[in-house]
Amino acid sequence: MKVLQINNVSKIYNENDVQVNAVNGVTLDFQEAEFAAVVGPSGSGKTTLLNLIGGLDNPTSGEILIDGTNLSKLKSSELIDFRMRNIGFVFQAYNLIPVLTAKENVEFIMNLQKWSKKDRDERTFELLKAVGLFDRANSRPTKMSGGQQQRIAVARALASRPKFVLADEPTANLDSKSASTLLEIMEKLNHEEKITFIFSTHDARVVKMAHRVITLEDGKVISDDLRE
Amino acid sequence: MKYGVLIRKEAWSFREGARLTLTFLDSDNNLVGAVFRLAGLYDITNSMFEKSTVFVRSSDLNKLIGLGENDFHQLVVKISNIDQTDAVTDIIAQKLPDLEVINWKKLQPDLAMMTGMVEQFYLIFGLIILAALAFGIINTMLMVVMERTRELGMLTAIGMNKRKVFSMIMLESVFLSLIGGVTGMIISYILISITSHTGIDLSQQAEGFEAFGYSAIVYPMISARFFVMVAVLIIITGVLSSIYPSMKALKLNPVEAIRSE
Repeated sequence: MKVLQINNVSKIYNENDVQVNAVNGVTLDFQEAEFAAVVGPSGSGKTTLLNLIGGLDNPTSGEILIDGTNLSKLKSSELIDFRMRNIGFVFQAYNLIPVLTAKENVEFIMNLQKWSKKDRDERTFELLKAVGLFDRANSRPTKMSGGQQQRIAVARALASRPKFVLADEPTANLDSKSASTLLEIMEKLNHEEKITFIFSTHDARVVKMAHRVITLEDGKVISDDLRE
Repeated sequence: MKYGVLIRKEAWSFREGARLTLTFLDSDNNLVGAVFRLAGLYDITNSMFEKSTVFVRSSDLNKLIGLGENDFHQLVVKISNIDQTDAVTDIIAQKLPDLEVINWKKLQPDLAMMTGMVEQFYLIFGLIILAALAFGIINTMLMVVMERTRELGMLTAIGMNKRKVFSMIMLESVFLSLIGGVTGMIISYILISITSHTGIDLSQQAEGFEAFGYSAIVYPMISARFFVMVAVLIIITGVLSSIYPSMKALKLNPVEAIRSE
């Protein structure tokens, strides 16, 4: 089942009167439970593509359909609500809320969606166990390592069972051991939750683990390898 | 007879038992006079009163000016709430239309003017304080928005809508104002509770105060209504001051904000 369709999407920026084709005519489809990596050199358009898929930026042309909904047809407030319900984000810099505990960070989106306390607690503890941080539920991010914080970020991204999770360089700030642990957890959750993961990455470990590797160069897809 | 210490200063001689001639207008407007013996001095915090008033036995005075034993030509009404001065004046004037009813504002217009000026001064002073509070909040909340740019970008990215972001900044601003306001009110309540018993000694300026009938030792007091009014003004100022920083937060581009340092 297609969760994401990218149809001939382009994004052009005007920088100092020079037009830059950050994304150039990209067409891709993603199925449920895919574990895909978007790779390419710096400036190839990986982050721009993820921003477009996540509804954080608007394509200059083309369309992006998530579960059949065309993002460009949504008003600004509808797009924010749509993101909340359908897309999970894992950022390079973790971006946890420092004044909230791990549990409160994970259940934040569920709070926005007005889940009942019972359902929130159940889902939160389930995810904290899955990422191996159940015993750190009441710790604040400042008391955790980078790897632990990123695991909490993954739990937060999955909390409301989105259609897919966008992870922009999630291992970039982690040591090798933390990065490996994180990737194993993400692969496990991808398998258990059947949620699509789309990475933008330079990390060879991510590429190795990915079931599908999409290579971008100068904003274009130059290869799309599906591995068994 | 007792006369004020300031009369004594003016008198060219004083000794207890000394004689003093006083003249009056009687009830028929005839000039009458009598000799009185000095019995003592009084000292109050109103120098104008001291300069102009002597006390004699009412029976002696009434005989001289042709009033009956139990007659009075002036009655002083003291009220507990100065804000009710005009209302009480009107009520007495209505109930006793044959009497001339004059309140302190007419008796001492300079004091009334000074009191009015002080009230206006407090109003201006209060507005200045609220303006300073507003600018302080705006500055603080703008710094908060700037320092939390990445966090705000992330919140918008993961799905916090504009109304919630706006409300969050506004609530933080109101809480900030209230915490400061409540702390200030507690401190002022404690200080006023202490000084309302001990008094604040302003005897350096005693002469000036006594000219208007004020004591050199001031006993401050404050009403619960004042605290409520201050709390309401603080909340309103907090809400209004948060509008600009909240609008700045809404204008953040999530993509750029997430990447900011």
